[in-house]
Amino acid sequence: MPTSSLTVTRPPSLLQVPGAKDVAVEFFSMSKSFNMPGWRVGFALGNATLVGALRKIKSYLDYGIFQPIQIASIIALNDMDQEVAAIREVYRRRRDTLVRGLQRLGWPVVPPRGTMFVWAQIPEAYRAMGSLEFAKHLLKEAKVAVAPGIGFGHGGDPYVRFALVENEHRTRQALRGLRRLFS
Amino acid sequence: MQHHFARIDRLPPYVFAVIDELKLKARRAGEDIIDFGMGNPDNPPPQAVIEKLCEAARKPHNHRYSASRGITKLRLAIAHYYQRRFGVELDPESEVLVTLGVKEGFSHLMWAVVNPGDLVMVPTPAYPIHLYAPVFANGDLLHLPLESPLQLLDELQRACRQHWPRPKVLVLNFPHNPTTTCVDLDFFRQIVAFAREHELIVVHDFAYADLVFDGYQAPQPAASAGR
Repeated sequence: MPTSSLTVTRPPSLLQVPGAKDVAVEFFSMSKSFNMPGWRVGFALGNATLVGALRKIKSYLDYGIFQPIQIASIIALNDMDQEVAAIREVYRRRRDTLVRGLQRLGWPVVPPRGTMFVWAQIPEAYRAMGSLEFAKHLLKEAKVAVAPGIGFGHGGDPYVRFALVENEHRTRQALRGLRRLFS
Repeated sequence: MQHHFARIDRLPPYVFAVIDELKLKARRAGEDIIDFGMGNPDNPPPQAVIEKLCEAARKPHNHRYSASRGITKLRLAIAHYYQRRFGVELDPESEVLVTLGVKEGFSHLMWAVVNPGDLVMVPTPAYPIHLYAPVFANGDLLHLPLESPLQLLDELQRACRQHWPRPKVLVLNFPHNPTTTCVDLDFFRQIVAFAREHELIVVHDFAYADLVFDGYQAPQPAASAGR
């Protein structure tokens, strides 16, 4: 088994490119990296004109995030590298469980290199249904809820999206439910 | 009521609500639904972070209105983080802003920079707010089919050649939701060079900055027996 959260290739920031700050703003989020989705902490980083424009609008609209949340977010950014690696490992294992399971069932999904999702092309036999009907079908027949690809706009309809937010035990339960679609 | 609300009317139907409703119904009927629907992390934050939140919440002065742009120490912390992790220098005064999550910051940035009728390019399929926020700002969407990073560069060039007025904003999101596409630094180099040449504003949603994994091992028929 690879135990390689330390050797993982991490994705680049757009701001690493020299001159990026002349044209770009990057948003960084605490939600997925630190399991803090409900805290609502993000950052706009980069070009000073764009950041300044957003800052001005926001200064009319809000009074900032509840201060204890901001204070605790500092700890997360400064000291939580190991915890972030552990969070990543949880998603990797879930990915492996789900993707291997689907592949064994005969659903040839592509294992994602990143994000917390599996973007699965609808199996040939069901593709004509479209993603919304297929998602309804999965819910009814397999007791599994997925996001229909059509909700993501152009080009999404041949797919459904699995978010890796169920643990491995529950994921295996889902795979048992899905089995009957492929028998 | 007879009034019509143009900004609301322009929004496409929210199809995820259809599944959510069916899911709720099934659960009310006692069914155990395994829910891979929404990208809503199920595990808690690190314990030390929660402790700090509680400790700070016990101090009376922490309950007043905070600063819209974010407290100085948090802006410093993200600047240090970018320095340490990416080697990127950011001025915490002028180049850093705290937002109420990415959706809020992204939406208001669109509102700030997109004039009515401006073209906003979004690779699709896309995370819905990347489409809705430019629409809310009365911009016009240009969908760039996202098949691969290389092809996206072609689509981008074509879009900027063909449209007048020239597109103003390019929205990116890598690692990408929902397609899971990842890009390397060289892709970003080409994007930045193109954006500088064409005076494009690039807005990158880096929500999955920490979720990239090592190589996947396909199931081995022999090894998988009994699992």
